[in-house]
Amino acid sequence: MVELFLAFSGSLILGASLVLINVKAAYHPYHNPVPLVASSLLILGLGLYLSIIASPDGETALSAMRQSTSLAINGLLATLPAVFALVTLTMLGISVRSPE
Amino acid sequence: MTEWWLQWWIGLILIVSGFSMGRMGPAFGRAKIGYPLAFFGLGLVFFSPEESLLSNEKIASETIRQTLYWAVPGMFGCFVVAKGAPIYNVTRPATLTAGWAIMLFSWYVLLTNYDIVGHDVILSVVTIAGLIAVFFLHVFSIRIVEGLPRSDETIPPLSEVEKTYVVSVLNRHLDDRRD
Repeated sequence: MVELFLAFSGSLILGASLVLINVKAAYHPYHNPVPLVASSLLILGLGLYLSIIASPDGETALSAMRQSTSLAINGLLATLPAVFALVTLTMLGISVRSPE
Repeated sequence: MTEWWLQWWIGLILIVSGFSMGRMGPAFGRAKIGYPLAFFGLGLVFFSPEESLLSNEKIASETIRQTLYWAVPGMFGCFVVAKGAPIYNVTRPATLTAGWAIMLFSWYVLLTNYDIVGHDVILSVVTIAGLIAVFFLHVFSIRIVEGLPRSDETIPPLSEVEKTYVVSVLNRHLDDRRD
């Protein structure tokens, strides 16, 4: 149960970090990044708080964040074979269709 | 304790940053360094030493390595299959066959070397649920901000560089249609 709680908090940290990195790396003048940055920081803080609660006593905030986020990365990577199966089926579909 | 664990995390950040820089934003403003940066990050992750990683990081690092072995040929195979797929009365059977050979090789590597059943399904479901929650929280915050009263500032016109780019894109597409 603790592991699932850690994974959930890690996925919050992971999702918010992905958005923050994306906003910074892909910034352009036609985009208003303020709402995304504000909500990401809020979610990041929530995820960090949850991961500290779920971690064993004595762990620092940094260790808790590292453990939970890497657990979420692991959970995400485990879905990739299923995604690859779906992509393969799509490739099969476009391979056998008759030329237009 | 050494700080080599930072290499693993910096690599992950560079992968996301590189992909974001290469794929997102207006086409005329995309950074050319994006994809090389993502590959550099991938290299940092792949060759990161494991001794300073925490337990979950070690598992994730090993899973990334195992995933790369089948995902790289798999993605290349998808690209080749998409190139060889029949479209507009043009068929490329040789390319299509080569693409499927690479895809089958990728599946062979996946099924023989990757531990599919060793992963916790509930863990993946919880992670996906968390990411969906993040998505909806962002949508909610954007809706709130978009609903706020707007200022009266006018949008500046296109610059000369942007105008030249738009004209070149339109001309290119019109030329394609004429052909």
